[in-house]
Amino acid sequence: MSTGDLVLAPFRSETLDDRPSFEALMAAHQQRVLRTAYRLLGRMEDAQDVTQEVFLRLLQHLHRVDGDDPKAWLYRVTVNVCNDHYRRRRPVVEAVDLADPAPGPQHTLELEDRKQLLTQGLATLPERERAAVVLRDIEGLPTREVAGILGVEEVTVRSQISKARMRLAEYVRTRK
Amino acid sequence: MTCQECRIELFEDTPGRDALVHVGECEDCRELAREIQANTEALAALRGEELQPRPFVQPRRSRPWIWGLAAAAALVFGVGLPRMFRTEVVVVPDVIPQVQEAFVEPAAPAPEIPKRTQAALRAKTRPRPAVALPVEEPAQPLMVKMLTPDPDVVIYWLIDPVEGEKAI
Repeated sequence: MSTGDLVLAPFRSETLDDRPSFEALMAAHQQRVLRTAYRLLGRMEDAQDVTQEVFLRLLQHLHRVDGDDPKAWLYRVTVNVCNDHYRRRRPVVEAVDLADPAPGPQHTLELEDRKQLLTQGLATLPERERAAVVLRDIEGLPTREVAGILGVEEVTVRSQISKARMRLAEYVRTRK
Repeated sequence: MTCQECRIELFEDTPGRDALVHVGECEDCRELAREIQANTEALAALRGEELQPRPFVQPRRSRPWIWGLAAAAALVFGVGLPRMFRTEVVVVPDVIPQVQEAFVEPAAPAPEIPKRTQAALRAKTRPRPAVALPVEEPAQPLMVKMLTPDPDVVIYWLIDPVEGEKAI
């Protein structure tokens, strides 16, 4: 049984008999939403709360969301909910090993260190710069799409991303 | 191009041709370019991490009957309780004394008064201020004394506003 099945099993059986598309959307995008929230907030528990909130909103607005590609909608809501969450609580970066803590070759170890440093560095960025760099560099969205999600001009996103990369590079350089 | 200008361009998505030429010539800027590249790869690697989601909490169904229950409770508290503790005001109807006709023996005819005496009496008579009669309390029974041809028999007729009429 996959993670998606495990998560959705009780939900499917009791509440959403008439909305199978929600299950598919959740299974397809849950990781993306959780990952974005985690990178924006820096704490898994908060990211899980945000993910719950985002999918509750999806459930409420399912009829208004583009069923074929709700990715942009989900990113936008995730960023907004994270911003609300972030304003209530400053981000705290957890020093947790995520997916594969097993040691590997030297360059992999270096990569893991760098990922850890960058994760910590994200928490030091201003809110808008953090959102821009998470969507652009971690999620790999094009600049135009990031601008649409954040509701700003492309040139603004480029500027924010450039500043964020600069700050992150400085953060990593001073802690290596 | 200066190092400062080159560094600004290196942090953008697509550095210009001049910046790339400068990187080829400047060791410091080349080192920075490698650092930026490593950061970009590390950030992209974060994308592939599998995180453990929390099970989606089943949203509660809306319960319309709750609102009905609340409305009923509000009705009880808003209307029922004040009515329960309200002080009753009982309006007692005014007792109208009934005029009873009784047999009264005709009095003896008054003696004739001479006309002069009548005029004198009329002159002495002055208008008296109106005296307010004491109002009988409605609770007291009305007693009517009735005389009969027999001087030893007198009938008293009591009218009680509550209990009704009875003869003694």
